[in-house]
Amino acid sequence: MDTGKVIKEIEKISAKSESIHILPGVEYECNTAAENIREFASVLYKNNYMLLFVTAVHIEPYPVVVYQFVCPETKSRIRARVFCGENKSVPTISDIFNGANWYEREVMEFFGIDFNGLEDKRTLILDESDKNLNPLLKKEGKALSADETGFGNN
Amino acid sequence: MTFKNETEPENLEKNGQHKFLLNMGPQHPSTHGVLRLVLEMDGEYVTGIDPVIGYGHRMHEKIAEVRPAQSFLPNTARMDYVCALPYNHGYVSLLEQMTGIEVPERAEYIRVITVELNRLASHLLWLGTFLLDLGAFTPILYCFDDREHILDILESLTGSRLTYSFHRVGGVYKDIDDSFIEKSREFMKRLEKRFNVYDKLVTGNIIFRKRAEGVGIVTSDIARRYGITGPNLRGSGISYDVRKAFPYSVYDKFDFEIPVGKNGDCLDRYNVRINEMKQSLRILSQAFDMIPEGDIRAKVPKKLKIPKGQSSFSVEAARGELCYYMVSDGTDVPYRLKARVPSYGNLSALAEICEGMLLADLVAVMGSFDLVIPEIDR
Repeated sequence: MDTGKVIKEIEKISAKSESIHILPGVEYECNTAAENIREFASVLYKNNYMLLFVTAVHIEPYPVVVYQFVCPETKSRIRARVFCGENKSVPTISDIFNGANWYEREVMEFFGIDFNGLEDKRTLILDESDKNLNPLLKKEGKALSADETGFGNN
Repeated sequence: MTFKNETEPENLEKNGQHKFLLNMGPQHPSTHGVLRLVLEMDGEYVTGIDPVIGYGHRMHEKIAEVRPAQSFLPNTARMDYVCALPYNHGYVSLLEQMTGIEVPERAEYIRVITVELNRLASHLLWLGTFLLDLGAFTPILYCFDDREHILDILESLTGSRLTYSFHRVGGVYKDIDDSFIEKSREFMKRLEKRFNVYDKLVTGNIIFRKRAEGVGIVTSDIARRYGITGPNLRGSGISYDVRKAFPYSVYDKFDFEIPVGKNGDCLDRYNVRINEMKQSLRILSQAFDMIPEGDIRAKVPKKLKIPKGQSSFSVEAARGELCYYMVSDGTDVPYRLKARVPSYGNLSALAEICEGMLLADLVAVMGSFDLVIPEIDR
């Protein structure tokens, strides 16, 4: 299946997307609503994509979760961003891409984002004794808005 | 996993409580670093694996957020210390991509030359330790002999033997001279002959084949679901190498192939890495032939302001795809840096691949995966 068809399929899901850009090294990037990320991941899994990483960026008011996928056959990269809501909760994709389990656990302990439906919620890298450490959250007043970090305008 | 101290063997069998927990690591020779595995065992068979990581965690990603981008460079070499130069390469390339700095062509050639030499050193270390894990003591002596030559060559250029900080934003630290090229060519001739020795010593060895063939099969579906990259992915027959799929630097100018396996077992991963070393030699000899004269470093301001925005850059490290992802707020200090390291995805699949196999085979699979734990912990 060629990349164009996959992107069309994704566009249907990420209908709520605020901006769609093409960046160097990444063929396609879009914003997706939290409730659609599972469907988004399923489409990519069916089209032979694999998950490269899941991470997050702390911007005001709530952190953004970033997913990057790559397809070895069609040589295309797709990046999705999910803006968290007030409850800082995003559905897990670890049952679609099992590798997401470790990435989500890492994001959970570094940013305090809750992944709905993630079975294994133990800490992965940091010590178990302080689950609210969240070292990658910016200090109060230091976090910038989407526009200031270039999230909104590139 | 629970363990109850029941004593009656029959009762244990009936209740499924004849299983026991076995702790492997964090100080265990075959975990190659401080990795701990909690194994659920049924006799000699592994029925469950829970990797415990984080012993060597240094929070590189936070360190990157509190200092100017250029001064983070030495940290990149301390993630995967066995193959540090691709980490340099990926990081400076990302900064160049974001700031739009043009790199002189000679510098890109020197980068490729040093990275490929480093890849050879890394694969030689893997070859020795993998076979040591399988109980063969001799090969590591041969491999260390060869690797020592590469470290000497790289030391003469970069000044370090392991944690290099040689690449710079806009170029490299130092130019290569004739003696470097001569020494490298001499070594390449030597290594080509040594492949025959390795072939005789290892590839056809019946004990090695019995330990590696059909063991630890990684199907292409498992590889996709866990995000396995590098030689471990190519062993499963998926021909994905960042150097070919998304050519960066000057890799598109060289003629080389991507070795792939068929079954995804330990033997395939072994063959892929051995052939990859031969391909690295091909790249090196072409690079030495084609390297142009010119500058080795572009003019870069001392305070490097990174324009607002986000970007990612991937390179092929010895263990797989290394991807840096950066968000900048327009200052010289990155707002967020994520390093996607290859061993992270590779290790996370271990539990599914190794379930139900003998403990000794688990050691073989871990050896064939070429894990570097400090890179996972970061």
